[in-house]
Amino acid sequence: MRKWKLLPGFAVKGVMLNGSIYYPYIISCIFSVFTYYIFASILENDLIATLPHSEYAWVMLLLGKILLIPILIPFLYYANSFLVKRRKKETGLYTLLGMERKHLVILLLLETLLVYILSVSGGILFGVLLAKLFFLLLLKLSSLPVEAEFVFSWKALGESFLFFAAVSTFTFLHGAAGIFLARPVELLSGNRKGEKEPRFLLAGTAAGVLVLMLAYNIVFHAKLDGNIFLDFFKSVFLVIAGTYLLFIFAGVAVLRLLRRKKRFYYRPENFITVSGMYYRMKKSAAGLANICIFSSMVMITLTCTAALYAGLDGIIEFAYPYETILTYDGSNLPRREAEEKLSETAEKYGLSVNRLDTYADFWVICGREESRVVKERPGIKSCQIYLLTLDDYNRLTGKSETLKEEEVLLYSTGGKYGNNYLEFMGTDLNVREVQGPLTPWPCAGRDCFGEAWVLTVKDDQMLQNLVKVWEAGSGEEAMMADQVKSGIQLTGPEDKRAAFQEELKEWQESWTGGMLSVSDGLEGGQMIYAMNGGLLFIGILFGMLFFMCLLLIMYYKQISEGYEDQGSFSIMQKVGMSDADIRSTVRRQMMMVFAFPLLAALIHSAVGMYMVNQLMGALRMFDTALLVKWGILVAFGFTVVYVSSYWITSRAYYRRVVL
Amino acid sequence: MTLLEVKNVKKVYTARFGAAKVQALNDVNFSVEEGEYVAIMGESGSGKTTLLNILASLDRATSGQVLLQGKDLAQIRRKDLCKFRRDHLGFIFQDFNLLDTLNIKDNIFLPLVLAGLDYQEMEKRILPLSVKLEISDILEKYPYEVSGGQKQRAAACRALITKPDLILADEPTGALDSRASGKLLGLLEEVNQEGQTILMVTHSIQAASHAGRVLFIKDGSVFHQIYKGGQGYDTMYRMISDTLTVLQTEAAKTAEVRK
Repeated sequence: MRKWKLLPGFAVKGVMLNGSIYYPYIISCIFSVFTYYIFASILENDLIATLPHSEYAWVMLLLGKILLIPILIPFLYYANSFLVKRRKKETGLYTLLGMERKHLVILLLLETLLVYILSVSGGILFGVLLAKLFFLLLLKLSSLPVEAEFVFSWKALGESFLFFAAVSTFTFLHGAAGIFLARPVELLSGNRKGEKEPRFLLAGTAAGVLVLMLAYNIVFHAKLDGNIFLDFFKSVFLVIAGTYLLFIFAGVAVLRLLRRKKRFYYRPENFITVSGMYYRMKKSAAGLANICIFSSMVMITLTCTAALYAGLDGIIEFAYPYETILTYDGSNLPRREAEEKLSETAEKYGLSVNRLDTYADFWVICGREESRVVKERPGIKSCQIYLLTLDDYNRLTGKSETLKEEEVLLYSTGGKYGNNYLEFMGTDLNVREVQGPLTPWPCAGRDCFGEAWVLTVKDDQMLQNLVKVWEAGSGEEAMMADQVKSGIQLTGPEDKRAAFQEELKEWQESWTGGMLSVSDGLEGGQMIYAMNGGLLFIGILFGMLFFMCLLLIMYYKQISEGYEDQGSFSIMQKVGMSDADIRSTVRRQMMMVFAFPLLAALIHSAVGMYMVNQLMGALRMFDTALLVKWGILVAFGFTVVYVSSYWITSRAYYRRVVL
Repeated sequence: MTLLEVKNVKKVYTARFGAAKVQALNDVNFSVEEGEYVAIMGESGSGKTTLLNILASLDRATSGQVLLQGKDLAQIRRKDLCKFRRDHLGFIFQDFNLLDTLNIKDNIFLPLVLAGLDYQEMEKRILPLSVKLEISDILEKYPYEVSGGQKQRAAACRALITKPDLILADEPTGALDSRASGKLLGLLEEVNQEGQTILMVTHSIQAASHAGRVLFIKDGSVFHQIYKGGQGYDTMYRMISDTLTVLQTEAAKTAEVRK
């Protein structure tokens, strides 16, 4: 059987001769395998489990690996369907020349195998070479000790092989189904037929607008509460759906309108562009929607990553305003003694003290209805209220406020309160709202969970009165009255600071004078680094992945339209269109085509920033200004990169069309 | 009045590698009067297509002159050539060359749109032409929805709508069956009788017998020509056929001598 021997040669030739479409596909497959392998091999690394706090980074990575699958499979399927379509004619010719379907399927199998071998070996080669680098990147981002050793994992290797084998099987079955279902005539004639206008244009457009409005509505009303992640995924899904609907239906509706406006349509500069877009309206609309969606994903991912990285110190400061806080019973341990213990220990390790505060730590949980503070009950907003004496307040802030009877200073860590009175369990108080910073209670500047109020009252007497009011109103007993906190902020080398923490913990263990707790802000900070390091790592890899998807979609769009338009432009040249006309038409067409997705993506991202701003709150990142700054920087940078990649990929189009 | 004059046109192709030269046209001379219907015949490789490309200003002669209304095509600047083609020439191709992306009507409008004409003017021009070419009922359809004959009549309509000085037709019946060919040729003849000058390259005797004059090209130069005069198609058909036979026997003889 000679012909069986021919087939492998055909497969290799088929891939090589169609290099302009196969190579980018193979490259993106390599990158996909690479990403998957990196995630898998770091997850398989035993050492990560032995590093302190690395469990957070590990969980993030696991999440990332799971998320890779629903992102990679549809994307590779899309890229592959493009390959199948491009080679239809060739398949048709082979059929005509006497190849049977089984031969074609074997040919396809061989090609799939070739692509599989190339991409898996390439991806794993890069993976093995660079895994250690990425491992170190993860450790660095997570502020984990870098001396950890990276161990090569066979299991990760096998997993990557299997994962990609599954993807390839899937794409192969898709291609094989195409061969069995198509008739040779259809294969040969390719796709000269234009697309039919989709029906229900107006309804579709309206649905698109509605879905998008719904999504934006969710975004604008998102609050940092338990539903935020659900809201996030809901709005992402709706934005994607709305973008597709809008690009397809509204796009076609606009094109139809333009075609009907004779004075516009029959102008040399519009004629070819509009008719060409109308001819393949659905396909190009879907392509543009893809470009728009991936652009938005790239921008949002990068903004989050950059802002998170830049805001890490702020997050730690927010969660741990003091590096160490002693909480103790003021009647057993005098304030002065506690402060002395802290400053003496700091001195012992050569650490300089930035701040040392002591204040009475007294808080109650209430319910909040507008300007009324009531007993907490389900269905109303709960609010933690700290009660502070004016003395403590002035010491903490360094101000010298004075207060009248029945007057309180109100400081909110959430949104602004905005009233000058407050009904506290039936007692009327005059309120003077004050702005931060009030050091132990960093301000988020907006409503979020864990929102607290700090009420500063004139003196201890007044404080006791309010406690009684609260006890009467809530029917509960107040906490220990004389609980005190002393917090210290330090600068110095990290090992010295760790030793400082150790000594305090030992002191606490040997303490017998009643309640005493030591909170370790250093360790807490390390935990935050570890957790966010994993997130950053995912952000960087996913940002790269999304960008690669975007590039490939752009490139395929350009090249497939280049193939289709090749003939048209040579006809137009014969009929009397000059090279300059063709160039300007092409430029205009591509500008229009690529400006829309960018514009829509910028709008999506800008709106998305509202949601991101809320989501960042879940990570205790409340620096909106920082986020906006990075959002603008990323949008600007992305626009530059987008335009240049458009410029580069459009050369693939020019090369086909303009000779 | 002489519309087209071809004087001592030569075309030499040089192979990309080496010095091998191919002489495609070797001293071609003829002229076309206004209102004439001229067919050019010859075997494959005789230089017909090269000649047509030079006349269409798609290619340039190595030496010699092509004058359209006394104007030398070689003197027109490259960037003005497109406009020149658009304004003075109309094309009908063997494979129709209609754009798949446009419906028939827009395909016909294409040269007018490129020339920047007003839409009202376009509408005014297409009406009588589409009726004459019997395509007025398919104007809204797309090329893939109509037959070959209809496509070629649409292409003819596109060539005529610019009111060109000269129509250049390259094997216009090459892709059509005999019935569609007959219909197209009849229409072209009708258009010619109304004063349109047509130059057609073909190797179909049926097509050529509709022309007023037939030029025969052999080995890159005009070998012979016959006029229809007052004779009918059948006589013309026979005359062309005879000439071709002579051409072929001569070719055979030459081949034998060479052996």
